[in-house]
Amino acid sequence: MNENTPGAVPSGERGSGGPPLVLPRGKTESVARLVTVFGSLGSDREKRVHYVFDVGEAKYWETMVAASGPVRSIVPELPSAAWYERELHDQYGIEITGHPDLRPLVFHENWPEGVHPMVDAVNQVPWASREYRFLTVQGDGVAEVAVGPVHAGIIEPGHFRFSVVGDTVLHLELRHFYTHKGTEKLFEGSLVNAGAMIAESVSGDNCFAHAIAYSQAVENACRAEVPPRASAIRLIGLELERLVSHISDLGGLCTDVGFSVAAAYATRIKEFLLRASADCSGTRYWRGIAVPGGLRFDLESRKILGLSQAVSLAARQFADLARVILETPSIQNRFETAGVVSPEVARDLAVVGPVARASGIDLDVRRDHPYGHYKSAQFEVPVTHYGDVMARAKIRIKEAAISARLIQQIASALPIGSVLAPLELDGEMHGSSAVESPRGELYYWLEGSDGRLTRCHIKSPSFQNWPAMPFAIADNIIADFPLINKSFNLSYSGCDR
Amino acid sequence: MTTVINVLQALILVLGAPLVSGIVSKIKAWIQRRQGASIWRPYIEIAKLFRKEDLVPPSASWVFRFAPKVLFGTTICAVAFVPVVHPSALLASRGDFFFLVYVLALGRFFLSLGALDGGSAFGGMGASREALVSTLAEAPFLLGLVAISILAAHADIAGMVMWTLQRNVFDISAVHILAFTSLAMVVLAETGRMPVDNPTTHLELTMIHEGMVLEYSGPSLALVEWASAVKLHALLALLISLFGPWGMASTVSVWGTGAALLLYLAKVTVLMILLALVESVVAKLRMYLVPDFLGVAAAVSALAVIFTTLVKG
Repeated sequence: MNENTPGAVPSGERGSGGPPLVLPRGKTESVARLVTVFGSLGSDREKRVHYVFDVGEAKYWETMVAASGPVRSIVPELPSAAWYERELHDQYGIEITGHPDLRPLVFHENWPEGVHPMVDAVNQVPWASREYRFLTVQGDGVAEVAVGPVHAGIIEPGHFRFSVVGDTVLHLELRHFYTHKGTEKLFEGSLVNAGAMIAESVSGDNCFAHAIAYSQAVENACRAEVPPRASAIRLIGLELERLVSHISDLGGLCTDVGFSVAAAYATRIKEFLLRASADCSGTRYWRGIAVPGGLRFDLESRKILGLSQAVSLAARQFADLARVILETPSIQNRFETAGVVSPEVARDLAVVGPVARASGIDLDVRRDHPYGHYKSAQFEVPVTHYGDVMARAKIRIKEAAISARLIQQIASALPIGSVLAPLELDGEMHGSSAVESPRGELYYWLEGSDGRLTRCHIKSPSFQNWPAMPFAIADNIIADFPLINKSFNLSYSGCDR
Repeated sequence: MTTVINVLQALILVLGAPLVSGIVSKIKAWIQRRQGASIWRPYIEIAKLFRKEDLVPPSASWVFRFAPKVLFGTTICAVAFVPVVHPSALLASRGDFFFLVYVLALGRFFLSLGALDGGSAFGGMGASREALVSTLAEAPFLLGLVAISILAAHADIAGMVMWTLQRNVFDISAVHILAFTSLAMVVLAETGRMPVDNPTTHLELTMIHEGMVLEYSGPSLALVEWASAVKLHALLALLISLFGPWGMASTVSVWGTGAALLLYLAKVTVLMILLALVESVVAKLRMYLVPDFLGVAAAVSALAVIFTTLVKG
């Protein structure tokens, strides 16, 4: 596959293992955007490494190399691959040459060395005590501040190791994966039809996007066509999820700067939408609705129209609220210039979603790699280049309005018909799919045979965006970290899987 | 009889303090269109904490245990200087306003020591920020009081209040307005309210006061919480008695004292509403803008002192 890509550039000559991977070119950049790197086992349990790139075409570019021996790292060319290769090293024990930092990523000090869950049995793993070395910053007056994994508020666990001089952050090291649940392992051997339920549990507030990405991957593998009514309702669910998520994010930003009235108002709008969606679909977060092939049950058109009216009301109220928030001087002072992600960093780390679009990277799976009902939908993709908290807030505000418009558009012209297509699950299957979740590009890749999965990889936008956080916080004061962190709004559970 | 009233005044400030915090929270909840917790909640909270176990970090020394008691003691001591319904106070003749300012500072100092002694990163961070805020708040706090004391030619709080009480409401000068502005800003900073500190935050990295008390639990925490509430109430009462004492009972009588008490409740309610409004309409300042905020307070209080020459002349 890689030979026939025009203008491919060979990977560097560092390291010793394996033939150099030929990296594809993007449309404008010298190297295409990396989507994900993951491992799998072949039919004879031989290790393989898959690389997925976005080369600027509707279809993702995918290649695979055998990994019986060491594999050469692509990190020197593509820093965005750093965490993926570390994960590969943890999961499969594949030696990677030329990687600058191969400390354990997914597994902590209690996980024994040499146990690789995607290859070995993990029923009884002994408790170990390994050593993890944090990067130390040396110099006069440099202090280390350790935060988490248990926080003062009720939030997900993650450890942050700051190196500070006074209140200014020099370096931040992330230590996550406290909520690693072995979801990719859990998929192995499970029924293809039941997989959507596992996918839904990866990241609670993006459960519909996960279920759709999984279902679409299965549908692509079976070459099944989803009935138009089902794909229209899926679009409504996906946009509703984005709308709720963005409203909640703006409220969260206000909470973090103590602007409690706006925060309370945003929470009220969010709750209103969740109740409206419970009225429409019987579930607040659209759990248990998507299945491979379409939807588990049809939703009444009357109720969808009701939801659409609720969305229009909520969007109007949210627009008013957003205007008040953006016009408040003390908010402007907090949001502007805080936590800047430069376009260079964003490109190097291949960040996705609102974080990328706030840093000048014009990227949206819905438009660039259209799926389902988005193939015919009309919508714009807001992009700005400031890359600060304010830019991310504004991108979310604009996207919320666009989502609300899309929902009303689709709800007013809902196709009729069945909502579930039959799937042919016999034999070998292999498929992938991407969805623009509220946090950005979500990519599922799966392989199965005779109705059972053999491998399912999840590229979550949070996994992709977390490494950009240390760059955003550097040179800011430590007291601004919660705000900057909130403006990324990354999922720990989705990252840790 | 005066002693009885003075004891009563101190009791109002100490025992009524949790109610003040509860009401401010309630008003804030109303502004957010929430129902909010009961106004008696802080009492329940403090009573609950007194019944709980006091956990001390293994690395902590006696300073950690001692600090909440010192904080509470100094706060009570400060209360004994603040008139509420009568222009007198328990310790009025035993110290001037300098004593009031520094007895509060002593409490903060010990709480900072306790926070450092607790050994957590957030305690240290909170303590260093508290030191910054209190250092910068000291100048406007003192200068604001100096301005009034120059006018009144008295250095004790009760004397200053008595002088104001003898003036007409319409005799308010620019000095009063400036001094009130600066002292009101100081109250926000001193009591850890918005926009200087967010008393309701759960984000440990942004905390000032809450960061310092993060390691405290049980009765120690109860003392700290109660002392914070008392400090807020006492400083509000100080603002009222310095800048709006009219209605206080100048003679000792049951009826006069009762009427003064009712008036005091009305005045403190107005201040609570103002506080809740301020806390609702602004976002918290960036940490490095807090010095600017207090710098403005200091400049305003310096102006107040300068203007005393004009008013007197």
